[in-house]
Amino acid sequence: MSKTNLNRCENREPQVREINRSAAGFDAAEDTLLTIARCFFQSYAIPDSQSWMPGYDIAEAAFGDETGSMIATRMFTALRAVRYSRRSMFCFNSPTCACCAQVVTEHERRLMQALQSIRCNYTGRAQTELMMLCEGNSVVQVIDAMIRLSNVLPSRVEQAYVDA
Amino acid sequence: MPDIIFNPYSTNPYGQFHCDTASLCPVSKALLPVIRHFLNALLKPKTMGWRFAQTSAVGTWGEGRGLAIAYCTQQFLSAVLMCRPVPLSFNDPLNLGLREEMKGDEAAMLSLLSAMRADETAQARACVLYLTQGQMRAPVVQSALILAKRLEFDTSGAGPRKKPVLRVVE
Repeated sequence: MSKTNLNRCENREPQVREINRSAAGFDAAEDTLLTIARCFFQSYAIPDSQSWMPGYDIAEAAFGDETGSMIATRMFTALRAVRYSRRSMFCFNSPTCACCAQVVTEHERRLMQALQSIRCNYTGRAQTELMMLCEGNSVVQVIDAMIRLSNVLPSRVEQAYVDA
Repeated sequence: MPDIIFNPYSTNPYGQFHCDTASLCPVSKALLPVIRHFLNALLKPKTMGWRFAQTSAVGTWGEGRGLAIAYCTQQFLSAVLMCRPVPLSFNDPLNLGLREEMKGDEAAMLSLLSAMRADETAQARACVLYLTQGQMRAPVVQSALILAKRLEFDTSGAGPRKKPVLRVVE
């Protein structure tokens, strides 16, 4: 499912369809969630990395002990739903490389924009992003998982939503 | 009194500690599969056993508390593994034939947590020394105390936390 970007990362610039993380319009919770998601992707791609552990550590530090674990687990459930629906590789950047982590791949961007839209009650837009991400396959499970995730996230400030 | 008192000399040459898991208190009994699945995940990463550990904890204690207990368990096991030159021995959580038996290390961990919940310092110290092979390491003690504290609220046996009953107050 997942494939890390192993290109040379020194002075890495966003490639086609990639964006800078700072320009993605994520609030603090979404920024943390992207890192957590990358940890889970890495755990799938390189099981020996045991990246799920830092994923939970980051969630616990950012959202508190009970809520943090719950948020990380619901994020993982959403990613698993994407994994079942999407057939092709999912490209992600390494959470541990300071340079690569500042670039958001196309797949990560679609995933996070879907979550952003669900948090802002734009379900139609989320559905479109997820259909693109999941290559036209059913996204019902993914939307359900994302709604469950957004229910435990802190509320989003509407003005911060960037219509990218 | 702790529900399980571990004696290192009672293990047989194969490292099996003959303890009937049926005699464990509900908390230790519920925690054993969580520990086993996490050890599976930590020592054999491809099994992704941490997902089963979390599912097991959520099934026993509910989502919020179960995941928090699972997280504390993982921290505790990581701390123990960090200060040992050899991995912990454990029975395969998916092997039905071995569910009634415990390895010495599993029994020592449950005994440690049980002793901490019962405030039996001497027993807890013996278990820490057994697990860490003679080293009294602060991260092990700290993570075990955090996990024991998470577990000790369970006075009525393991089970999902009941929702408070709401009443109209006049």
